[in-house]
Amino acid sequence: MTEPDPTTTSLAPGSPHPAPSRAASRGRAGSRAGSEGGLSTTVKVILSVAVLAVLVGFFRYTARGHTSHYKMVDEVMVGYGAWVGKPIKVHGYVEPGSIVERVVDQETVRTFILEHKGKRIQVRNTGPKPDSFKDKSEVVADGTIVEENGEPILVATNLMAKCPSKYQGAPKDKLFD
Amino acid sequence: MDSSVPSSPVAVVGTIIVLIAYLVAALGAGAGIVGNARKDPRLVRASVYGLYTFLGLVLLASGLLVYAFVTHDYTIKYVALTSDTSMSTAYKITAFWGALDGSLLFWVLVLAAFSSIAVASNLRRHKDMIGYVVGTILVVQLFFLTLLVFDKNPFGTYVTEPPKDGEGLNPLLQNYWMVIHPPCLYIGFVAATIPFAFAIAALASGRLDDLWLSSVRVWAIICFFFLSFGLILGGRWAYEELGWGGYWAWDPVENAGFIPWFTMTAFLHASLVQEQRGLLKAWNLVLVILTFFFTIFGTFMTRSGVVASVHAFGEDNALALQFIVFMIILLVVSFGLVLHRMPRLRQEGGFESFVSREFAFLLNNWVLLACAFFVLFVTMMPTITEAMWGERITIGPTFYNRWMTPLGLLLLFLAGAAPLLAWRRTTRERLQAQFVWPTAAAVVTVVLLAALVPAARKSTAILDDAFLLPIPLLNFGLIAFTFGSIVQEFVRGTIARKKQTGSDAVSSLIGLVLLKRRRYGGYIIHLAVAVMFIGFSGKAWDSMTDRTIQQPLAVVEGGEQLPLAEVPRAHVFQVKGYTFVYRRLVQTSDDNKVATTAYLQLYDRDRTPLALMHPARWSFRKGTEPTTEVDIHEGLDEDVYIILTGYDIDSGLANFRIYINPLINWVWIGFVMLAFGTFICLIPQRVVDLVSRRPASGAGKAADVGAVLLLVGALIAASVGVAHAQTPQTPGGEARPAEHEEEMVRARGHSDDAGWAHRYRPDSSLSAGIMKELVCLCGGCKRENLHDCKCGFAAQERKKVLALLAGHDLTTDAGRVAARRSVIGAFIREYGGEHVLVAPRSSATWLVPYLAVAGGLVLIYFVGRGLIKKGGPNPPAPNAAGATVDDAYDEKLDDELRDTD
Amino acid sequence: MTSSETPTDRPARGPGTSPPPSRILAPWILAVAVVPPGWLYILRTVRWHLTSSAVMLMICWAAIVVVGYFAIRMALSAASEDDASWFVVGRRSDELEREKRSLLKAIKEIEFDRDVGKLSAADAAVLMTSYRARAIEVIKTIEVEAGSAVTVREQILAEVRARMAVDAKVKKKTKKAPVSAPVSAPVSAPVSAPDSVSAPAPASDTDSVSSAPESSS
Repeated sequence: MTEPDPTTTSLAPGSPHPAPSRAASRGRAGSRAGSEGGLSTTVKVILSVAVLAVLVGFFRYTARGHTSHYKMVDEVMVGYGAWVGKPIKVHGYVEPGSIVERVVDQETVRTFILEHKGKRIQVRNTGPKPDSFKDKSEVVADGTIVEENGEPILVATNLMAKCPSKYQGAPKDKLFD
Repeated sequence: MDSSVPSSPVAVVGTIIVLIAYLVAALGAGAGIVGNARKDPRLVRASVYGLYTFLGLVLLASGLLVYAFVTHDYTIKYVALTSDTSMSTAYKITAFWGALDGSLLFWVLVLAAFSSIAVASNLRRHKDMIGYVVGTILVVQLFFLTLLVFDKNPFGTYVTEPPKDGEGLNPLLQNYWMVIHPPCLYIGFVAATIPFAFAIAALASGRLDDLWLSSVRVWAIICFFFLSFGLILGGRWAYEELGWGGYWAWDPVENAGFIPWFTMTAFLHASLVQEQRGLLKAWNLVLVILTFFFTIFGTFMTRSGVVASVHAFGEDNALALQFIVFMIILLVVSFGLVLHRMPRLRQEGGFESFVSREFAFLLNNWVLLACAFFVLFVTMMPTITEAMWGERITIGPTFYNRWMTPLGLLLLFLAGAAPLLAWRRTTRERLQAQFVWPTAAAVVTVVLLAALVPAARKSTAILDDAFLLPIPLLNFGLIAFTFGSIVQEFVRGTIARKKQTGSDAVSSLIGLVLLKRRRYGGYIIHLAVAVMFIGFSGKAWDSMTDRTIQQPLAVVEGGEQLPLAEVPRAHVFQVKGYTFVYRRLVQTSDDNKVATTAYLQLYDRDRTPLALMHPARWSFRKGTEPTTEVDIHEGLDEDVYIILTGYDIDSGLANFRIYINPLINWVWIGFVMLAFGTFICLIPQRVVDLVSRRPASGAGKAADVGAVLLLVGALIAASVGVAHAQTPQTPGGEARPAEHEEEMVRARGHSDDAGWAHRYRPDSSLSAGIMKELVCLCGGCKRENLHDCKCGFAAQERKKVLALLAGHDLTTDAGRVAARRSVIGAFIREYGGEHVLVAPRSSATWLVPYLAVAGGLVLIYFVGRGLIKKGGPNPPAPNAAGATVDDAYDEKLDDELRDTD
Repeated sequence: MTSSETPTDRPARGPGTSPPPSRILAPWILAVAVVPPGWLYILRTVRWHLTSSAVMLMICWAAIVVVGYFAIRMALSAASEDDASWFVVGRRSDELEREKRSLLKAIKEIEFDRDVGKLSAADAAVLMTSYRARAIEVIKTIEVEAGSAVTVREQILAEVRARMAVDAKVKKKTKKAPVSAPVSAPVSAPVSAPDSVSAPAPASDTDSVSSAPESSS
């Protein structure tokens, strides 16, 4: 991509425009490196790379609150402290008998336990649940882990049923767009 | 290749045709490239004809595939995958692009058609590089065909026994959005390929002047329009059908269509700079290459399973590999050519001032490019992270919004400011004169809003969560600024033209717009974008609430007749000032699904009833996932959007999710304006000449293509109309189930498992044939014929057919013909008309809208041409020439100027 | 390319040469004529019920005809005689026309911007002067190029005459502004044309006269 050098003429009104042919020859005469007041190509490249690096770093910094990791229950419970306060999706199975649902003040509040490979975590959630939600169903709970009385609780803003056919190939590749 | 034991002639022929097309494309590409390089016109001409031959072949293959769909050829896997017998004809046709294999063929078809038009209309102008154009296009086609031939053959058949019926299209996809959204996006992608081909040809042949630019202008506008249209349709579809309360989630599939949109918009602007000042030549080539590359990359992202999304299709490594190879070749060849020609792309002249239009356009390019790469980068981020560190992450839409908001506001500012700047340099006093009114409008708007609308003072975060700014106020200020700027342009332009022509304001305005279609069409588009930003701003105040109501009002004796004030509070809830009364929960069923609908009465803040809302959930007998049918109460100020998220049919408990979406309808309104602006840009010169009664100018043939492509738009509109008519309307499905209830009683049930399908089967090919010609009138199925319909009513009718046939002599041919005529005649008499026939004896009704539109446009075109050939009054003769030769040339120049628009 | 290969008495063809109309008319009419019978046959087979499957078959038939027609033409053009004018004829005048049109548009744009208030009258006048000068040069060039020659022979004669006139003019006058009469004949070996809007280079007369024999061969 040609990087143009904005050659600023003075903005004082009344200064005549350079005739086109003069501008043409001016542009043609100098090489890119040597155009008046411009930076050499190497410097430009280094500057661009530096700017890009800073930008990318800034991205990652600002993305920290919006990046949600995806973990199985056992992976999380190994050291849940690292995950407190960060967005996370936890995948597990509903422990039989753990679902408690109440309607409080026109809102459904539910708690249940997600487990996988022997590790368990309490989940608290309000609002809708997936249709397949019941004992032993496979669920991905999307939310944040908070600590209450030393116990980790996943406050889930969203529950999704894990769709087994989603990540398989061939016959189910129906178009959506 | 996936051709097993084919028991379908269609599959065999189709596969052979695809192979022949592959061969022809290879020959044509070779001929085009070699012919152009060696300046051999025979090869170049051959390649052009090869392109047209290729179009014919692909048309044939597509026709065969659709034929397979409408004749239920389930031996072909693709047909079985995406259709079933009970689908209406329109959906069977659109199942063509229902899944990957067919949509690839569809892409090839659209590209073949458009490239043929492009080559045919540009053949004369670009004779010296048309070989390269054809070569490039056919190489791209070869890529898609490679995918088809080696992996995703839409004509592939089953190895074992084919299914008796197809799987059918996911019910989520059975609506008119599915008819129109994919073709729109594909047209957009294809329209990006044409400029790319011309750019490569320009690079390869060394013809780097503005010629290629002006020839591709129409295609770039068409690409811009169809990408925009496709994106908006996707958003509207998501909003209406998918039921998550919004229209844009920065999902990878959405982003795949958005990224090329940025670069194409940048190209549209940068090409103006090249035309006007000869600058940014390398930019334009690069932008066109990038746009095409992004269309391929976007397809790669979404189809190969590389990026997981809601729309994800699963992993497909073979496909991914083929895409990657093609993309590498693409990048190497394209950018290689650019680097090779770099010395000739150096611009003469430069940017003389920061306050110039070209500099604003340059800034605009940078911002758009930044948007494109940002979205690309963040979309690929989860994939990269997983590949490199094994961590699976998802990045939420709020992150996108944090960054895209400031970039978008910057673009909005440029959209308003750039028209106010002059080329080369805007002097200080002119700067003030131009900016004063729009800036005043902005300031006044901000002040008024801040003072009178407290909600407008809200601060939202941009870039980082901690960085809070009163974005809504800034947004509305910029919207007002853009409005002021564009309106000012129209006003001043009209005044200037009034002075020139001496006519009244309205004619001046119309004449102005028609004269400078690109400029003023573009201004309308800028205005439209500002309007859409009104819609976008509403997101700052949207809300989502969940409610659970344990019992509907219907359980209360006479409850539904109670006025609002007396309704027990247990059945009432409030959200943001709106009051909802949950009245009843109803379940209905038909042969396809069970529909559970909740009825709520919506009241406004001042207790006036607004609407009866009926969100529903449909569970399908076929076993696919249930769908949510949301209900929306729309208003210019905000939408009330309600979803039935769960229910208990026994107790009547219902869970609702309510979204309040302020200002959202301005997004759709803005898009309609954008369409109008694009339409203005595309008006061909001949129509303008017709209207202004001037002799036809020699304006580029490319502009006439706009007329042809308006046809495309019209056809799409017609197909929407057709598909809409075919789609059973959805309001809770109340009317139809009720009617069907009676039919169920009458016909002893229309359920699949009652075994009626096996009763009274045909005993000969004659009776089978007759049954296939008669329609089952049970009312519950979608006009299936007696042979296929599985209900009791059909069984009864089949019995009738057999009984009627029994009285005839079926041993001779003549006897059979007579018997057939008599049976069919008997049915027509009994039901009082030909509606009992599957195919009424002369029915082309569904063709009529297409023919009418096509015929109308063709008529206009030819009438226009005829009128113009008759010529209009010539411009007045110039005054007597001056003494010197140069004076004579001055006069000549003035003449020519008068003839120029 | 010697003159014997280029019949100089044939009317010079403009850009976009194509065979005389009668030769293309017949084939495509024939092709179009083949389509309806096939359609009628298809309709007859389905007993005149215009179902969607019948329409598809009709589309397929039309596609087959298209394929056949263009495939034949493709093969024929690959084997046809060489048409050397394909890559050459008309480039120069096309380019000049375009340059002229873009200059005119630029002038109109400047006028408009001035009327609308974006450019001051002074700035506009300065710009217009330079654009107008260039436009006039281009118009002059086009005139010389086009002339009124009808046949190729007359075009060549006109060129040679023009060149000799320029030659004579330069010899007579000493310090005159460079005349921008171009010296490349329309029918000549491909010249690479300037691809940007730049000031026309002054014709170097000795160069052009000496290169004339080569360029018109």
